[in-house]
Amino acid sequence: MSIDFSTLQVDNADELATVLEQQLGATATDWWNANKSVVPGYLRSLAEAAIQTRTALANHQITPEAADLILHNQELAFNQTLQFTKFMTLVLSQTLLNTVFQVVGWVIYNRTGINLAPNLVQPAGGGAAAS
Amino acid sequence: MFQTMRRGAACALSVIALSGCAIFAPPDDPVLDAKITTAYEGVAKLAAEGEMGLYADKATYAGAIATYADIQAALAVAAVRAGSQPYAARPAQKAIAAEVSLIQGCSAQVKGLAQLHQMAGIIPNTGATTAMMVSCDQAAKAVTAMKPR
Repeated sequence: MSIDFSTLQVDNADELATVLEQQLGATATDWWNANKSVVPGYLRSLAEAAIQTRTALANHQITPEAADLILHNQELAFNQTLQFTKFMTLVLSQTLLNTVFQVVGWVIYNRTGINLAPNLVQPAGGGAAAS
Repeated sequence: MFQTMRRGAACALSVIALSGCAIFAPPDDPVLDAKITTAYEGVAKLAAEGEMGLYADKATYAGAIATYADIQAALAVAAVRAGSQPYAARPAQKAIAAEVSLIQGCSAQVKGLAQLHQMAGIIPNTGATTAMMVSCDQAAKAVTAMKPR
């Protein structure tokens, strides 16, 4: 669900919590839909490569030393793929943090005219930035 | 006068209450963008040439050293630029460390392929180039993910 921030008016903490919940849910869903296929794709590519290496070794296309080096590189790449998922989780958490402060920033701006989060709150026609 | 005071108060408040609003993404760094793009294109070309049999003879390594060096130089600059990005919130700080480590992982894979090339040549369809492509794709994606949105 998309909110028109410029008209967002919140009177109490319950209302704010409700808006935050909706926005966080939507942000997390969008992020997940955009990224869920990435990691399985890496794993699939690396799995195919490992099978290619096994076949090439069995067919004497490559030496055991070369196979060892190739498999070592693949092992590093598998490991890095796990690190990459951690990285993406950090990106998600910061994206969610930004979402929270975007909502809070708009709620404050709409009531006071003071923009405390000019990087996240960008009213049409500028608006007074506080910092 | 009143306006000045109001701005000052708002700034103080923003420091206390909204320091978390700091942009995840540090300011856009065109050098970082350019270097990671150069490196990724170099890696993709190297992998494609390897898979087409251009480097099946290990004697071709000497002629390819400059290619490896160009990629490594671009990755080294990218890692330094990524590591020196300003951050303001804790997830961003951790994410920058992870981003640097992904760029360095790409660099380690380029080195690994160079070792294989020198030792035995790169034989097509033996799974030799995939690890580098995967790692460097992750590094490039990480740089993109850190850009301001």
